[in-house]
Amino acid sequence: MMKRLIVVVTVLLLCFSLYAAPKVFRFGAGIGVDGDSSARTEIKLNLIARPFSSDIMNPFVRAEYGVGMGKGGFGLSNLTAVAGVELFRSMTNPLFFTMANKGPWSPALSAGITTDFIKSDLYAELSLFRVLDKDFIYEWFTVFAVIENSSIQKWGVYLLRFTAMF
Amino acid sequence: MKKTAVVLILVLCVVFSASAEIGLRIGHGTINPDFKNLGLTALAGVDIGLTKRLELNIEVMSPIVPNPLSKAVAGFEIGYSIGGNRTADDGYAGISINHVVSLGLFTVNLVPTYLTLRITPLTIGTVAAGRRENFLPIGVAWNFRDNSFGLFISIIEYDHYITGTWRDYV
Repeated sequence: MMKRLIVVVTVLLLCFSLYAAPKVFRFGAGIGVDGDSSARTEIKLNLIARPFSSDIMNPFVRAEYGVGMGKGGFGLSNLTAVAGVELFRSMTNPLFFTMANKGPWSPALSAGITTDFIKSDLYAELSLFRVLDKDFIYEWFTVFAVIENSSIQKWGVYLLRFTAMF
Repeated sequence: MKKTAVVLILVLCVVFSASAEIGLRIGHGTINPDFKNLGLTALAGVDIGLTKRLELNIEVMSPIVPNPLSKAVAGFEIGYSIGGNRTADDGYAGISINHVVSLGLFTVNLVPTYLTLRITPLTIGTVAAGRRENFLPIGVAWNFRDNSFGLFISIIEYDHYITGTWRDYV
């Protein structure tokens, strides 16, 4: 009983210390609006986890889900789950004029799957116009592609994805 | 038509030169059903401060994916900050969390078509800070040509101010 208590407390302390170190392990949640080549527009909520804080090739995972409207009418979007890397963080930020606080320019590349729970396809995206504020990530004009059988089935653009980090 | 354009340009020149605050606006914006099934539409424009609470927004909306610039709806809005001054003088910034109500006139292919009324429930930022984010502006668009109503929806609009910011005080 005592042993179990010690293990539980240790695990909890580890979790809390990871969470309490904001510059290392960070979670985030955000919203974005995108459009694709089938003339469908979607608004998606996203959850992101960024376990490390490296200036080069910093990994993250993200899941997104939302609603959309297009020729097929109004409905739920695909669930998209990706793993990605922030390629670098540079204080030579060409997008600094868009920011209130000085923050780095940090393009990201990610890939994963997108699924409507019946069929899954590969998904890849490149976020070039991406800046990091202290507690926020702003991404403008992110391009993405849905790949099926080695060919691009659909492409699109995220007008803006805004993520708040906790 | 030519005369109207010249008058409009002159009026805009006067407004631009008289205004202490000028910003660029970019974001999402659409009027349904006018943009129905045209994909993702973007909104771009200029935000000009008229008084401490009033602002003039000149805006154009157009699809960007999959057929960029296949249609254009352009016009202007007069916005009033209902939460307090959007800007202030004597080196003090305005209210950084605000709400805006806007009345507008929009054209489709340069033909006046819509009268709009929309509310931006939350704006974060100030002219002095150099940026303002307008969250979920939503309203109605009355098409007075065929007497129908549409929805004027946006997820977010971002204002980047060029003049009237902290940079002017440095």
